[in-house]
Amino acid sequence: MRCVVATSNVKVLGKALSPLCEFLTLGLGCFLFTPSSSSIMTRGSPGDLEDSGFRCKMGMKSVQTVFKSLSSLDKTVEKCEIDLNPGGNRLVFQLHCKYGITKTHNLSFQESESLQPVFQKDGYGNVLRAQPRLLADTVVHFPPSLEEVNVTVSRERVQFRNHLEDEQDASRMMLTEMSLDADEFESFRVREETGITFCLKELRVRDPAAQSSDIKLQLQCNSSPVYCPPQADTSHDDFLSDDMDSYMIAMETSCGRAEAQPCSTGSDQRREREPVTAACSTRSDHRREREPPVSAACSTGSRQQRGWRRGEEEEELPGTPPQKRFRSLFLVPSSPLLPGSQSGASNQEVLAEASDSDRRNRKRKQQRN
Amino acid sequence: MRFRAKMIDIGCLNHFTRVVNTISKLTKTCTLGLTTDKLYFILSDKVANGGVSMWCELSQGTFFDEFQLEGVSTEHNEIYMDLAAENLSRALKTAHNAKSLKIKLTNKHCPCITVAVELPSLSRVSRVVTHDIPVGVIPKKLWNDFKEPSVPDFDVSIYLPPLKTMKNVVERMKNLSNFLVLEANLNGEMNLKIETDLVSVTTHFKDLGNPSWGDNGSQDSTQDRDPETMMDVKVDIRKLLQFLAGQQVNPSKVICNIVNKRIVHFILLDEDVSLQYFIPAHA
Repeated sequence: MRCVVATSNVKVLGKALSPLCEFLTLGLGCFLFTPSSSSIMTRGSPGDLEDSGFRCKMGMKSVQTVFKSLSSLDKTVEKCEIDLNPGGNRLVFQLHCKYGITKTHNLSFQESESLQPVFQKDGYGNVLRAQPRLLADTVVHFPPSLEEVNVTVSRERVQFRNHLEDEQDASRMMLTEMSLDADEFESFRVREETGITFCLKELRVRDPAAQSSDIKLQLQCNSSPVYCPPQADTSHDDFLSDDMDSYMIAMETSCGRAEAQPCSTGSDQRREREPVTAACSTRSDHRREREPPVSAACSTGSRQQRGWRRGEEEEELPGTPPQKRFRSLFLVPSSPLLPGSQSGASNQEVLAEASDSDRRNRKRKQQRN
Repeated sequence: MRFRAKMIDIGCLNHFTRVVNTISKLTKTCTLGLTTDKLYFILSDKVANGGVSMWCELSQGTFFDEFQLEGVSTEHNEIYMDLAAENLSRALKTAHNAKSLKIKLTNKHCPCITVAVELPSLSRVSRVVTHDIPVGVIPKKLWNDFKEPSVPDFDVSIYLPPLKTMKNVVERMKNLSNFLVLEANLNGEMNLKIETDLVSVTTHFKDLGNPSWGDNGSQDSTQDRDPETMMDVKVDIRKLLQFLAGQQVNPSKVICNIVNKRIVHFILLDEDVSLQYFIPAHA
């Protein structure tokens, strides 16, 4: 497998990675290259990648090192080659810079499972749309260290509240609550009152990017997965500072009922983080093609319903409660960059799960620490 | 017990925020005292604090437009509670453009000070952010700790040099030693000294001015003394730095009273706020 990224897109690639790197310091990053434009060239046909099933995961820190200092990348790097080394155990990032300088980074990786999202995009009872600024203004009131937030949607308003783990002592913590009136949203259609709990951290990272581009946020939910496609302003094509077509982020979420009570789970599960998948493809200068919207996948702790098969036995963690709980949501928006998307949870179906090797590795890591 | 207060003026809100930020830099938890005309932030001199104590007094009328208090009883129309100053600071942090701020005593999952911030919004309905800060109400029998400290029988009283300058000096000195000797005389001179095996450093300040305390008894006893004589106290440098670095109130003058070898007492006076901070001498 080999990919070559041309100059203008090296910075794009770097930019795509840095928000991920910011919030996923301990996690693993997953690369999916979709060669839909002439700027990324691959050896072999595009179909090969899919068929060969090559997916890998790498430590975010090592990837970050390759793409640090984006401004100098922009000025000095002419070409970036990504290749699998002959031994097959290192992913080689070669940055061909000006003046004959070549920087080679050999990064170790783990092969990972291919994740096929299965997701219903239509038929949502609740649809909310707003400027990203609104989200930024909301998030700022919560403590920076807060991991998860409860959101309750009713006919008149949306309420955000910091989420307390069962074991946390409410008499010691400051609880913050904020409500936004329906009028603050550009579009507010709520058919049934819904409560969800999701991870706030990922949202924060995306705020600055969301505001720089003119992308509105749309939140769609019933009691099924929250789906957030960005609503790009299609009146002008070139509003994006980042020339990226699609972007997937995985988040840890938990489901909530209408009262916004989160499902209780074992603390082991809580600590797990799903691998992050980043897909970037760039538009060619000539064709402004847009990728078809979305694929999103969610994984839950439940074994009862599955959106897809993995063909492997699932390891059940000791003490796993029967309640359904999401561990990750992969959200692929339509063409514009999706910063600032929220993800929610469903208590309905398992759509994607951590591979066994992930869980085993994490368990091993936990035992070691 | 009931307490409700409302603040509307942005200037007052920002001033109040600065005071609370200063308090939160000085101590993690403190006692909030409420009376009909004053608010207090108190830190008693317990061993756990390293013996430092703090007394901050705000005149309620200058900050709040509405203030209603029903204390523990009619004769003792006061409420004292422990809280984490940092929580209050955080609640106020994003309220800088608020339309109004309400503070009240509530009993949700536990006794709380609820801060409700009304923010401007895109619609006709304001955004409301509420923060519930858990507090511990202090029973009346423990109220003895909360009396305004008397000004000590000092040997020297002097105005401090600009806090920023002093802070920069002390910050550098912190790298060299854990203890600092603060000495001053009645001639407006102050020295900050550190001494280790390898090095001793002294910073001299002149022409600082000495406040006159009028009919204070201490004044008389110092008349006979040579104004050049230095009175000193050796303090934990981190405590001193905590006091200097956390200041957001920025008064024009800060008074420093030294009881020779015993304690140093700082007084910040602003129009609406007074803050006193005591650092005992290191044994």
